[in-house]
Amino acid sequence: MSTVIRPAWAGRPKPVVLALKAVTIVLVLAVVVFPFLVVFSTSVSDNEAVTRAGGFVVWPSSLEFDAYRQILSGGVVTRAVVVTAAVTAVGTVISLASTVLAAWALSRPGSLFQRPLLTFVLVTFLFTPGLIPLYLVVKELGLLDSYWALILPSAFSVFNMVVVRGFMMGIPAELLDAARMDGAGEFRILWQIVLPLSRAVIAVVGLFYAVGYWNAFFNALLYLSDATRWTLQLVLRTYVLQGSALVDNTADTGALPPAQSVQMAVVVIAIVPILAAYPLVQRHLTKGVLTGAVKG
Amino acid sequence: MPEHQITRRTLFAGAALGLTAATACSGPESSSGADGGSVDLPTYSPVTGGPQPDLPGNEIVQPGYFRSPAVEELFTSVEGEVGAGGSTSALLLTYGALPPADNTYLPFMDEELGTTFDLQYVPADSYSQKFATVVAGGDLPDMLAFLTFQLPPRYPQLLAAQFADLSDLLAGDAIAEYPNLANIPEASWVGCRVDGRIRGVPVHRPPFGSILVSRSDIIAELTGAEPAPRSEQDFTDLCEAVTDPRANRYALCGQSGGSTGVDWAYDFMGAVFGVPNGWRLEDGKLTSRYETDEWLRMLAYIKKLNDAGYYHPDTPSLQNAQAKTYIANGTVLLHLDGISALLDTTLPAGTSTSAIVPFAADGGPGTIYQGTSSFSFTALKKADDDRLREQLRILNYLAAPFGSVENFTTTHGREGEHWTRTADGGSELTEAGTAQVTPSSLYRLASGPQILYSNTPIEQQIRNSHGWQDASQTMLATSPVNGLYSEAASSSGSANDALGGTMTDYVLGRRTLDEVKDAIASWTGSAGDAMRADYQKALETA
Repeated sequence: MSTVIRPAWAGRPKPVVLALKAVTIVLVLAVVVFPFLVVFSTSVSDNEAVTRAGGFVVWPSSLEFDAYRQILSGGVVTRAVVVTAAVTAVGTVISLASTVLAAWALSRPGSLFQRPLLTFVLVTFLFTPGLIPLYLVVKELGLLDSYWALILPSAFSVFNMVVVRGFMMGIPAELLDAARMDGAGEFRILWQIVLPLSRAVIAVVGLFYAVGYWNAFFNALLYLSDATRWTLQLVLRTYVLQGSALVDNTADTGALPPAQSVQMAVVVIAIVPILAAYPLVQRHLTKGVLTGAVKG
Repeated sequence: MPEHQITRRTLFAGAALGLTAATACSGPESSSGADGGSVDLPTYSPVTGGPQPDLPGNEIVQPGYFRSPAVEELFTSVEGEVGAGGSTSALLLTYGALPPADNTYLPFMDEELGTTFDLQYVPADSYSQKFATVVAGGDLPDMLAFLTFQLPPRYPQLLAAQFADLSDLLAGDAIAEYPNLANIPEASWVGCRVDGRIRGVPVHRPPFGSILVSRSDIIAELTGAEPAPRSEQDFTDLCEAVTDPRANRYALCGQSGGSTGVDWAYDFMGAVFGVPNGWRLEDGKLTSRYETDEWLRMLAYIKKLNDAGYYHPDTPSLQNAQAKTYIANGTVLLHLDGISALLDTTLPAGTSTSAIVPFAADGGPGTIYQGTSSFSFTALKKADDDRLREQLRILNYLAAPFGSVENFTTTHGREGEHWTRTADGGSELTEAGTAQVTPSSLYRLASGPQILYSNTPIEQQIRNSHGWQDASQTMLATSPVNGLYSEAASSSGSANDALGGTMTDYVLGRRTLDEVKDAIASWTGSAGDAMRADYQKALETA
């Protein structure tokens, strides 16, 4: 156990306080972990156990991986994983590049057309394009049925740009002036001074983008007619939807009614990668977001 | 990351906009139809060949089959060439998982039908959005399904502007050229006749609207008899006898969703109290179900049942899937659902469901609301007559009835690859067949009249469903506005929500009956009167 360093004025906490803290932490942890436990337990239970438990299993009586087998057989899901991973990787790189470049330019008063450009970009905050205009633009650009349709329309987020810009504005001008005195050009300053200093905010924004790409399903639904190109979330959604009634009771299913375990297995498959990536960038999260928020 | 997502609100706004844009340029043809009156519905002429059902059917009651016919017994229902060798594109709604990437079933069907299918799959809950973009984008597939329970706004104008008028090819006796389409009962075609013209080919469903599914086995165990209430009092007694909150068992449940926000089994309860099916036509004047005294009496009764604790307390937030689970594990014993719920193949072994035969509150004859008798209708993109005939031949093939070679081919694929023969002369889907045939969803384009049959042996369920249909077939109450279009109705969502919310509040004891009456009056003002005017006009021109 590591030694806790307390300020000189703070005494040793009473055992009661310590115990209370411990109980609170355990409770909070339980609240967070419980849903995950239920999701996992249900995903590894068979149909009968799920029905007996009323839809959700807290602790599995046996381990059945049928639900996972059902989802992963046939190659549709595995293919979708590859597609989604590639779209997420390429998309995040493109998004980060465009966001960082725009944020850098717009954070320096005196850049060419800085004011009008900034206004132009910020105005898009006020208007969200409708579904049909967006679709028509993508269609006219010839992006239908192409993976680029999943990346380009959502590549640049003004919100994220504002966060990064806010961070960059906090970098002391003296630092940049010093670099300039040493003969560094704009790109060199960006690459060697600004980017290393902005690692926290870039990690956070990168995470935002990556999660966005990973979770996006609607773009794929609209723009890709070839189901073999569908992204993971869209494919997984077909499992969640399985057997569900649409409106009133008039809809029928024609397929098997919902297997809760399959749905929960879908949830597990969908969240595991994000869950795995989160701790890696978590330490940047608080710092990055706060900086952007306060100075933006 | 606000830009990264499309919100639900923008989405629907966009969807509505898109359809308006697509129909705005429809020109003078759009709201016509009235000029020449209505064409006849296609003449119903049932296909007589095929295996004898174990339980007989008719135009209303579905025939029941306990086993699939032996492969040798299959009869041929389609003669001559089907497709002409081109391609056929379509948008297909799917409730299930997608077919695998190495799908060999579709290429097989391409060969069989003489056309290359180019299919786009759309998950059911996103169908309306995808539909809107496809229409707005201007690249219509050859075949597009209009879901009868979710028709897009201004669909008559859309159909007139962008889709073929099939009247000359299908109306009246012209349908004889497509015997399998003529085998679809007339009631299913009503919704395909839009503005007096035939605009599509229906996917048949039995005419019964929602039914009250019951766990008759548990009820019989608790009360000593199968549930057969004949009056309001009987039903109350039944609920009282089977409800036991300590055992976590409730007589019935509603569910969240639908046009009223929360559905307290309105369709069943309404029929019990003599509420009309949507609208009542009396002396040429339409009255909405909400505007009747019967509706208020029904609401009061629902409140009484809920106050007594007979409804499952989760009702206001219960999803359909969860309600099905409650029925399966006996937490709830009565639930309003579609008739296909009776053929649920995933019920735990040893359990069975049935449905309550309709009855009237005062002990008189019962009624059950008639639905649209169809799941969807498939409209064809405008083309020359030869092309349309080819497309109809393809639909005719897909609509082949149970027991025919064509139906067997469509539902089984290629022998040895998708299915194999069993020792008793029957057939069995292989693993590849299971993964490919149904998920390929060709049956969404057209299919023969739905029958009572399942690959899984559920003979008792088939008997229960058939028995219920047999007992209820004379009780159907049609809607006077079935098949008619009202622009106001397609934009009445928020008015319905407001009224539905007030009614739920009343049932839950948060509002008084007077407040419900006020809400109904304001519904009438904001939506009801306009809908009435639309329907009245449509009735006059029909």
